[in-house]
Amino acid sequence: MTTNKRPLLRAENISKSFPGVKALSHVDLDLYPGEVHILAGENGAGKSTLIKCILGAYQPDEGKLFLEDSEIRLRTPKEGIEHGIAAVYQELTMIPWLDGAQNIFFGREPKIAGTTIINRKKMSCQAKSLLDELGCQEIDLTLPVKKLGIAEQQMIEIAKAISMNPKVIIFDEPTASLSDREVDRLFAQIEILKKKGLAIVYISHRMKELHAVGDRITVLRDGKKIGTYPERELSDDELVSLMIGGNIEEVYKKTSVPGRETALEIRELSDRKGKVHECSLQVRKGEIVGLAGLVGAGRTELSRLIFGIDKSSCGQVLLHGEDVTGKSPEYLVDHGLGLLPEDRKGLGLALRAPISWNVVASGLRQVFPHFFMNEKKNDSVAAEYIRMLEVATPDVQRNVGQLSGGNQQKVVVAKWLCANTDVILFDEPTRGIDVGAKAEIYVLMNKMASEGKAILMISSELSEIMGMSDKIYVMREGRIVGSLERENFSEEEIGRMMLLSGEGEGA
Amino acid sequence: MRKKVYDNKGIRSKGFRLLTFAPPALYMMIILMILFSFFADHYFAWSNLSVILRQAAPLMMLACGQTLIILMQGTDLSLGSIVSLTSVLWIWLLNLGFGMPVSILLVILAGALCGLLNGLIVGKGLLPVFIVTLGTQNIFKSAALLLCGSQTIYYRHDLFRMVAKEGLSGISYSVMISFLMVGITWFLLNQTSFGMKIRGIGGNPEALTLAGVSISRTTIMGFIYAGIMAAVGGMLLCCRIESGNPNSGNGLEFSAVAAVLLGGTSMREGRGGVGGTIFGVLMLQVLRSGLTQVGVSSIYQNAIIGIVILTAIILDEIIRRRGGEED
Repeated sequence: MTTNKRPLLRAENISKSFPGVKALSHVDLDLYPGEVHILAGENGAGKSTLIKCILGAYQPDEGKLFLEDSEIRLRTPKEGIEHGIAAVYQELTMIPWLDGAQNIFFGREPKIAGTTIINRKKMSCQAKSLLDELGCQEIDLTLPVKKLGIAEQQMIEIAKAISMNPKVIIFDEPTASLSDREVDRLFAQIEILKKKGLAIVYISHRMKELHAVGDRITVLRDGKKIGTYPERELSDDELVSLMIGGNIEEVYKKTSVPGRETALEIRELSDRKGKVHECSLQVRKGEIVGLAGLVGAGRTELSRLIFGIDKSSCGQVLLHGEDVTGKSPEYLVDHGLGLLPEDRKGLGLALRAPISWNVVASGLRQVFPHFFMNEKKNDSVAAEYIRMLEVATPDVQRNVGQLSGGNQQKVVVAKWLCANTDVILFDEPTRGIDVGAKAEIYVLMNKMASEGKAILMISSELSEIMGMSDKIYVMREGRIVGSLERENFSEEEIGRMMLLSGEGEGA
Repeated sequence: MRKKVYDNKGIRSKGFRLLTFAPPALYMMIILMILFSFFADHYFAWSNLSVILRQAAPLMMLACGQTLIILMQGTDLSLGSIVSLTSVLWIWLLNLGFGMPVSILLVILAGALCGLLNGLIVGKGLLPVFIVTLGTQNIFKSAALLLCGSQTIYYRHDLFRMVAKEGLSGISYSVMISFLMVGITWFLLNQTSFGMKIRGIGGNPEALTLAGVSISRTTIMGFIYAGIMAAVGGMLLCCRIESGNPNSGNGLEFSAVAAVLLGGTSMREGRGGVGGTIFGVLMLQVLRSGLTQVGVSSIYQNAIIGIVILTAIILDEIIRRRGGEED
């Protein structure tokens, strides 16, 4: 459909090495106006490196970039912007206490002629018309962006990219923190941009999205280009096997069978901030229970409540039948409860500390019952878990920050295994993790469940939560609005409960 | 959905949210003034209030500079020493025979150079502000002692008296200068791209790099500005004590940090501004002069000031949390 036009941007034979790693070797990419081009590949396949070369954040060792048939050389992201190449980054680049307009035009504010004084009127006017164009008139541009929702911030981020009048926009995992409904809105906006003749590069780990927005898909593996395919010619399975270079039978293979005994029970638990209302649920030993809901439905808040980080206003938490309501996280950890937070890097790990420290962090009392640490023992304990969970690392001295997302998540798991945890709250276990590593995390979760551990999993990915859970509870606006047993799982039913209020709620 | 969440918070927290519109220092200042007015006669007399404003002028300058640094998530510990150095330098230059305008320019230049030194080390080396300024603080202190031979030095000039004591309708020139500088700082922080960049450094430095804004250059400019403000503060102090004292700025940097924090500027995320800082400074000065006026022994004064600062900051935290701000 696009072959009759000339490419807008062409990357030819791009190679880039970092000390010890060849991140990209001889990769080509061409972008046509009015197309959404998907970059697919596992973490570490070279997607980020490639787009950073296109944006001007990296200089390729080899290869050339052509914009509308003329060669360009970019030394900084700013030069990229000047050539009309903009990006919406995975980590938002918002400045929290500046308002929407100030963020959109940051570093490029309209000035009063001949001065460095910002022309506020002109700025907010332009910002407003940009948001109108995107169909988000309701966003309040005068509030500090910190006070806006994450989805609204994402829209401002997009407005920021568009305000640079780009010819090419790169979306780097823009939906990582959006719920399904917000994703739909984002796609509508991408459609608008497409109609305006922009070339769009889209990176995501969510299979469903690739099919929803993509026109063509370029697959990268180990820094090499595997090929470019029209979207409709690739099925999910084919795409996955291209990305990981082999077949995986089934990503979600359920092996565990839940036991009888209740491991974790909460009864009508509410918090003090009004984000969780009278939630009740049960997790049995050996059971994986999914907690579905939109972003902001109160799932993470509920997990923090159970773990004793936030205080509850009423209700009970029972751990192995013992009432532990209001106990400190320290007490709960000692009694076998573990939390793998959504924000793995910020809350789950000490990124600059070696793997060995991270592994024993929660289990210090188990590993070293007598106050004194012993580094040799620490290393050997850590090495044991690293081997068991197959973390890809040469040694346990390496800083956790140097590992890939999937391996980091494994270290978090190791941390809780080391602490003898038998009830685990898993908040978005595979966020930002590539397909191959995802499958490994699932295997690990199944293994833990079959060993009799109880898992409560929060996930925004319906396929994941349906594939892994024995039972699903659905949360909406702080309440548990329904639950489904595995044999009754249906995407429509769960989606309906997540979105609709009122009638027809499950048991 | 967001609306829903807010609705659930109830009336009590709505009241708290209203309170977050003004910095904690303002409430604390009003409470303190009412308290003092019971113990001291004619407390609310203009003559008394104008003295408080006058005494606050030098600290106001430092706090303006410190606001920028704190917005960039640092605390400049060298500002007090720059005050000492520049006030001694001014008298020293005058004694050497430099004229008034030239010496003032040179002093401002000296302040800018001190800031430049801080900024270069912090900005180019990407080192923590706290540590860098701890080092330069000592250098500036020694330089001040060296200039004056470790003693207070004097110079006679009518300008000192005039700036510190005279003025229009009871407001001394020093107060006017300080409010002019506050105005300039406010303008810089809120109406220029420089201000946006300063807030950006504290809020999300990554965003600056991606927007093609140089972090180190902005940092350096911020420190130079703080240095200049400290030099102006040094000169205002000089005018008040009509001499150059190498210890005159001791500890002022900490008062400035306290004033900025009391004014609602956050050490995180580039939040706040110079508007709140004004009240932070005035509250500290109200407290200090009030305690003396009421006759509290200087032994207890520091403890009381410490308690008041902590109370204000704890109150601020409570109000914010109850008011539904996430951080």
